[in-house]
Amino acid sequence: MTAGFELEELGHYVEDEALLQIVMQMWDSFFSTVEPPYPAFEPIGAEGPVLCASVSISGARPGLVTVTVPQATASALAAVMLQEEALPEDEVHDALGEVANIVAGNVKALVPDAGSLGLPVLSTATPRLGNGAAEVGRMDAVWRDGWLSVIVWLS
Amino acid sequence: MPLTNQAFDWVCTLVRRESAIVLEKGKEYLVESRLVPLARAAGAPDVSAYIEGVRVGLDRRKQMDIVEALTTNETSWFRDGAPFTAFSTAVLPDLKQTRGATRQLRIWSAACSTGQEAYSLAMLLKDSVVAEGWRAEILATDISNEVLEKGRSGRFSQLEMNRGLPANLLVRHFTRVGTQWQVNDDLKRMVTFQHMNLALPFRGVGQFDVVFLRNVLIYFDVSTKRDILQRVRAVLRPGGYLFLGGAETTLGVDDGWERTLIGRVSVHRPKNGG
Amino acid sequence: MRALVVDDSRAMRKIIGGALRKLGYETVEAADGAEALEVLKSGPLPDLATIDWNMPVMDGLTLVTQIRANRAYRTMTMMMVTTEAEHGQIVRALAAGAHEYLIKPFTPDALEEKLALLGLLPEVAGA
Ligand SMILES: C[S@@+](CC[C@H](N)C(=O)[O-])C[C@H]1O[C@@H](n2cnc3c(N)ncnc32)[C@H](O)[C@@H]1O
Repeated sequence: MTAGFELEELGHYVEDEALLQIVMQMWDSFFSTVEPPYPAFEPIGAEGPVLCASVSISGARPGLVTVTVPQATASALAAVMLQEEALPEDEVHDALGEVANIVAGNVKALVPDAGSLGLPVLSTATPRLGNGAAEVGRMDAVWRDGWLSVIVWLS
Repeated sequence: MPLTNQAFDWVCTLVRRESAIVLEKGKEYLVESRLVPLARAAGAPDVSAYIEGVRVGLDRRKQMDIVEALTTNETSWFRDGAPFTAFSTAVLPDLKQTRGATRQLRIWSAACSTGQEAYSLAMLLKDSVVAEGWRAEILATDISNEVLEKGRSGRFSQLEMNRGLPANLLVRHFTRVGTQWQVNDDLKRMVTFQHMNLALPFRGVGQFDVVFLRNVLIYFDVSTKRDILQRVRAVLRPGGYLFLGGAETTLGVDDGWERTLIGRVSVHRPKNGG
Repeated sequence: MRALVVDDSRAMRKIIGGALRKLGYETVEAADGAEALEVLKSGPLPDLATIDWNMPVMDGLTLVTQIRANRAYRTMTMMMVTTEAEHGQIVRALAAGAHEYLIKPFTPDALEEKLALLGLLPEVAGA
């Protein structure tokens, strides 16, 4: 049955609404001391260098979940998550990686016959999945003077 | 703009009249923050203006929206743990003796919120008396239609599932549906959700073997508490049990009850067998 | 009481460890399954281990299986704390020997309630 899935059907499993719920649950858990992000139509706000944490999903339909934020937003998010200001760069990367890991795990549970999660990979640009993969879910939101963008790719 | 005194007073009176919930001075902030979403949805410029609109509009549904918004629906699975242990290890074995002739149990989760308490009880019954062929039913009631609808749907978010539900019961009784978890039909069939205001006479609910009336009396004044406890006594079968919340007691409120300690939990039984 | 916090994310170790210390625990940490086994060999046996699933070197499910196989560790309670959220994964972890399962993300309340279920809340908590 799995082999017959069209990408559109997979998109149905990872609806943008579901992605929003996953991100908001994360917020209620680890960022509840500050105002929540609000959904936007596209990434808006601060420009400049970004940080992206991505986690792969193996299985019948391999995929990738990316969480991209401006670098300043990454530092601010890590500070909230750990209740600690001025964290060193590696801890900011680690915190964003864990955010991506949590989003990816919850996304994986929506995908039929998914395998396992990869470990978070950090980069300074949002990777794209080639080879027949498509963006099946996306959430953009504005937070303070930055933004965050979560994208789910499946092949 | 902060809430006007007039608006606050009117809301307090409304909420007290409709639900018996007492909102004291100093709860202005609570009232305001809970009503912001309603005011926004109605397109009112601020909360005071929204309240004034509802006041002069005399629309009962809108009034009840305000009452519902001011209920506190905090709950979790097997809340506080110990009362549910006492239920399983002492109350159920006793009822199995005293109700052996009919092999039926009726339980009331009064002020059930989104249903975690009722479904927790259903899980315990399923593994004990129901497995032995007894009939067991749970009536779950609340004043808020919103929480009742959610309880009836039997769907819970990941965050709600995490709160107090043992993993082995999660895997046995729930199925994942998208980002949520759905309670399985066999448990769902054991629980009936129904709208009921505890401050009004209990009409047509029948008799119960056990009543869970937890974490709701705290919102009422003493005379309302007394009145409710007296009426609960009247719907409890002889030899039945009442469970209250950790901060609640019959002591000094309604002296028609005997308290027994099971472990660290007090359970209440009508004096003279009811 | 003592807890071993096993997670490859330092941020997550800080969050879980911090929450446990607030409840009265002493904590030790490990960044993967193999490191956790080293910690267990060298120190006193913790009352509780919180174990992440996806980690480098040795994953959490393997760690649970190995701990379960060692009689010396029998009295230690194992709770998976992971983002693996499928029904089938929870079943696998319990079958391997995990006593409880907490899905990420979680609130501090949820962690405390799970410990209460396990009878592992130090007396100071809530006081
Ligand atoms: C804090 S919850 C308690 C839920 C559950 N019994 C527990 O212990 O977790 C309180 C519930 O009481 C309900 N409630 C408040 N006033 C009520 C009334 N007058 N009649 C019925 N339910 C009421 C609220 O809607 C809310 O769902």
